[in-house]
Amino acid sequence: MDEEKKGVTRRNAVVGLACVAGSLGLGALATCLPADDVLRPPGGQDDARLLSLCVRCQRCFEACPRKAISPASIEEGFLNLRTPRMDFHSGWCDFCEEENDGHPRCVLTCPTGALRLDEGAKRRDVVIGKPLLTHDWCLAYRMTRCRDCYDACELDAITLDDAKRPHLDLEKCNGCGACEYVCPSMRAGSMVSGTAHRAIIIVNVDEAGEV
Amino acid sequence: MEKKKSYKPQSAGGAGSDAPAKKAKRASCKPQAAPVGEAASGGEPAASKEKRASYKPQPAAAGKPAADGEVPAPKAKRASYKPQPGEKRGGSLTKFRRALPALVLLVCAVAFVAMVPLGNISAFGWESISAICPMGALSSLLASKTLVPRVLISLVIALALILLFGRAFCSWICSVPFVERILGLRDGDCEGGRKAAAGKEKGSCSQGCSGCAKARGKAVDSRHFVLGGTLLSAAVFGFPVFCLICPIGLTFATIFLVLRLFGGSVSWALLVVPALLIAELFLARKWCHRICPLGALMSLVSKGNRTFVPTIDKDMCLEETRDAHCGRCHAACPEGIDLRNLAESPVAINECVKCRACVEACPAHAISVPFLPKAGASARQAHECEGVREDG
Repeated sequence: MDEEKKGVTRRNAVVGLACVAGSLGLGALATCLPADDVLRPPGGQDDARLLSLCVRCQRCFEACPRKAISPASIEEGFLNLRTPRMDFHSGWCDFCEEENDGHPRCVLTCPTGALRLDEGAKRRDVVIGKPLLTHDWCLAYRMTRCRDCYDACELDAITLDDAKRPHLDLEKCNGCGACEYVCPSMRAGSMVSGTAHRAIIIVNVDEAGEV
Repeated sequence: MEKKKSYKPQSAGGAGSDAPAKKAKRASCKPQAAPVGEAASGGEPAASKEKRASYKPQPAAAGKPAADGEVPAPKAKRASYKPQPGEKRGGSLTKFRRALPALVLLVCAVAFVAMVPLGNISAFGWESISAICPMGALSSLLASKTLVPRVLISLVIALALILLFGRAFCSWICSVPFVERILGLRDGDCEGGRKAAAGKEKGSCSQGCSGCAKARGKAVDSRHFVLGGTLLSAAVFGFPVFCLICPIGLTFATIFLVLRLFGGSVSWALLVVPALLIAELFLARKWCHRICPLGALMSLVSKGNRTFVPTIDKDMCLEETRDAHCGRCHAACPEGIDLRNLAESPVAINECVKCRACVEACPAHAISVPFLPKAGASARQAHECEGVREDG
């Protein structure tokens, strides 16, 4: 009986070690694999904080009335898998101005507080991202007089020059994604790059600008 | 549910891989069951349901003459109770219990499509009120090393619910058994799956569900190490590690991603998420018994659970009243709990998932799941634990 018990405990110790090692290994693997900086919904700009609290419950995806939040895919890193990121192809973020008086529903719904805005935080103060304008793809730079992004921008972060071509005012932009959402370039009639690209997209702050 | 239907035809042959066949096998493998009575009645397709209904511990129940002297009459009669392939398993409550996880998935999917943010079982709720999965809540508290009021409140509510209902979540709501059934990794309530049911794995399921269940609940087992490991890992690496691979989360994520397909969103996650889910459940057979840290957490908290505990009414139990060997409740238990003798049960009562399989299995209807422990029941149980059951 004693030996049996010892065998059980030894086996238990091995199993236990394996389980703990596996759990730690999973954490290490997810941390070590390359992960992109993805654009987070309002209140999730501190990435480390968001990752530490997010339980990948999908509430924010559901809560977004414009479907502007989508789960991050594996391409953005194993660590980010199923965490929220902005998806401006299906909607853009006005901080639920129309739907909820400027209190984003994703922040309201987030059960763990991974998305959290300070009291009285204004839309202009929360920077989701900044725009990147690719002149080569922009229809306005082909003198088509497209001004969809200019019309869509509510924060006056896009100006038109004398030739009616858009230019960015990075200071004013908070990365709401309205410009990306409406940009027709590479969406209509483009089969080559699929529909993944736009002439104007929201990116991380350090990649923003005009090229 | 559909799965079960789909392999029904196989059982018509008698030796099929179906659940009823297995049940029959279980009955036949019981060494104490009267062999002659069994053989005599094995072939007759008699309405066994009626038999069960009529089978009450009444003194006039002496049906067939016992073959060997030491087998009392009631046993022969009981041994003759064999669920026929056509017979439906379980009552309406059992059917409801089996259907509930699918229903939960369906409701969440419909709510998602209808843009009614109800959440899912990782965090179910409305607007700012959510019941978060206690595992996720604990991990996020440890990973962020901050006390978030919402998380704490959720955690307290979850713990209170576990204290009240024990591990009922596991058999009534959790989507993992449902997914395992779809994947053919689980047959009915029995982890181990079709392979075991088909008898390819020699010796398995000879004792019913309890045959697959290893000793758990009394000491720490692998699930507890996974629980401790993932919580430690969350604290070390700063994110809720288990949430990354939680099969419940992955199930809902799969549904969610498929529904998003209609919105035109395609990504590799659509392949990776279900692949991860299937790989986990295939590689770690008996996920619930071996890996699930949520189950481990619940079983730890369930040690304080005193409500809805299945209890044998000693005055009706055949083992007590007729001195017979029955053991149906033990054999039926997917967790392997021996209700008759909790002190020697391989699995402790805090592992009970409140599935009522024992209630359904008891031929004498002696088992109930009362809200509060019945007066005197604990004394009876104590007596049972001490008393050595005499053989006939």
